[in-house]
Amino acid sequence: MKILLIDDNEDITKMLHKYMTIKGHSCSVVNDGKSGLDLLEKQTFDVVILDIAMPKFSGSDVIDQLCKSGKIKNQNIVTLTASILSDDVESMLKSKGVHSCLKKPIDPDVLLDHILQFENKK
Amino acid sequence: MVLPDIYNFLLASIVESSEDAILSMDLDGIVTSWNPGSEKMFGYSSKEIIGKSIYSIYPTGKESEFDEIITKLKKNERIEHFETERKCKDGSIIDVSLSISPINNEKGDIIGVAKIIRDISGQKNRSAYTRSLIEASLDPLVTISAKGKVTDVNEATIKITGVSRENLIGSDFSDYFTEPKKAREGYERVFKEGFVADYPLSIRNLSGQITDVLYNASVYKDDKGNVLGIFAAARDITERKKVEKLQAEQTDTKEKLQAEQTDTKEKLQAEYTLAKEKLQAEYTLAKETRQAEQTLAKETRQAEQTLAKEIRQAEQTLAKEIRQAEQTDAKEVTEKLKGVAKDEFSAMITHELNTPLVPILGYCKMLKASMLGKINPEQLEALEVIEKNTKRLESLIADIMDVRKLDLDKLRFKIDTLSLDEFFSNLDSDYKKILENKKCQFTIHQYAKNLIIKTDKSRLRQVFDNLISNSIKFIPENNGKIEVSYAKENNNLVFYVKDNGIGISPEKQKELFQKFYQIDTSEKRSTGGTGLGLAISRGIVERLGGTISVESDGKTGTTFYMKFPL
Repeated sequence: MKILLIDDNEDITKMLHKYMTIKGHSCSVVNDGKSGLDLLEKQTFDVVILDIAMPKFSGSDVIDQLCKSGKIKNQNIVTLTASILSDDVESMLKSKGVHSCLKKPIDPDVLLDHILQFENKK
Repeated sequence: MVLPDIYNFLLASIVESSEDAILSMDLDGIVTSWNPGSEKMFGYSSKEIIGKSIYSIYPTGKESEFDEIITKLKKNERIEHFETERKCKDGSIIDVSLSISPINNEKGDIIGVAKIIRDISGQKNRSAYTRSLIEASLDPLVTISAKGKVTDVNEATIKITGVSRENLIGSDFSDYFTEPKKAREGYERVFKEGFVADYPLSIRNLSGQITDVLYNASVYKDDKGNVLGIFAAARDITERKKVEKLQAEQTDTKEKLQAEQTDTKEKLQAEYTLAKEKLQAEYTLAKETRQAEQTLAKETRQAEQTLAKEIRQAEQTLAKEIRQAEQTDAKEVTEKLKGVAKDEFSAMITHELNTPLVPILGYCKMLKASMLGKINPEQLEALEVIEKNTKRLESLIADIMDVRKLDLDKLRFKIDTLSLDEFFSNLDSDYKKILENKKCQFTIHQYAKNLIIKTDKSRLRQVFDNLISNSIKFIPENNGKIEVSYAKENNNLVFYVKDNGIGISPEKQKELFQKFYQIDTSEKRSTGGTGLGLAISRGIVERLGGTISVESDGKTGTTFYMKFPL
């Protein structure tokens, strides 16, 4: 699976990058939303792991841009939230076309399970 | 005198050949001539009778006739031919018709009498024959005079009227009918018109019996054409009437039958027509219904399509609006989040605490799974401590987040059907494993079966987890007992979690469900806790529509009750 991981927390991205690589997947990492969108312009990914609560260019902004460009339809997205109001955010995100919304702290095994769902759908 | 000779010769020839008896006599009655006809008629030869008295052929008592004839002739009176009787040589009497003329001399004096006698016995016999025929007739026959009197009747008339011949003759003809006036009119018409045919009358018998007859009558006249009376013949039509009646009845019956047949036929036709019309109507109705149904189905389809389209449009519009609203919301949320982070320290903490847990737990998992190289048992033990405490931290943060959500009324519930049997079966197996090591008796009492309720399964489980974990903290290390029970009471579903722990004093029970409340027990402090479990449990139970309460004497054990209306 070709994965794009967008999260401003480098500890998390490093850990998940390692985990996914060990598990045999290709994982690209960017630490802000803008960089993620740029990369999505150049490459295609089987799935995007997107943190919502990021400074400057948030995960929500990424989603909005993908909605505008229409790319969201063809893009598998798993979001990560740590918000106290994650329930509200989750329903909002899903209405926009996000497939899975996971709450932090996440178990990497669980995250992988969600990602593998898309592989089966391919 | 040739002519007289010829005349005499002819005359003699006629006399000689005549069948009639032609004879002459003188005024004294002495026979002077006797032709062969006379000889044949009376049996006397001319030799025997010529010169003898004519009285030989007169029957006894008729001798005076001769004198009367002579007297009339002498007076020059004309004698009409008349009928009488004469006697033959053998003594038999015959009926005869006489024509008499005088024999005159040259001076015109009567010197003798010439007679032509015709034997009319045959005629008489014919008359008797006629009479007998009349008498033998079964039809009542009667003759009537111009005045309407009966002049002659036959036996049939006597029979039909029941009146004797003597009484009938001379009586009024009309007396014997049920309608005398009509009878009178009948014979008057005969006198006027000469006849009537099939004139209907009813004869009344002396005994009262009525006979229906038809009269055929005509006048009878004498030789000169003078009307003498009426000859009337009646025909008994009783039988005929019977037959006619029978025929009429038959006709009636036939007509009735035909009418009935016609009736039946018409009825059948009417029924057929009706049935046909009904069928046609039904067919038409069915057809129309079908058409209406088709039209309706079509319209329904169209309406559904339109509706579906409109719903789609509405959904799209709504989705758009929701998206817009949510975008606004999301911004608001972000703003709120910022506000919350500013204003509420706890909210900030819960949010910020979560993020560091991600790499900690992730690396623990990877290390333990030897994904980053093989580890020794001591390292593994250290990792497990790290992981355990991280998870504890995670649950504390989760509790704090739940409390915050309850405060903000943002806690979401996923209501679904839940089989309580299954729910408690899972609970039983989960806690049996955990509590086995702690030498604690875990029992589930099931007082109601097959109950299906609507609730949020994971939130309900959260409540039980909170209550049971609370109990675990306070039960004795050995011989601990935890009982979970559910029952149906007065349309309520009642759960309880009972333990044999240290109990809670009534004063403390009041504060128990408040946030951050900790039961102050120095020896149990090690088990720790945020003091949020019961507050969250109450919040969940209340939001699921139930109530939660506690019972304890403050010494031996505590029971938490939950009650949900069914």
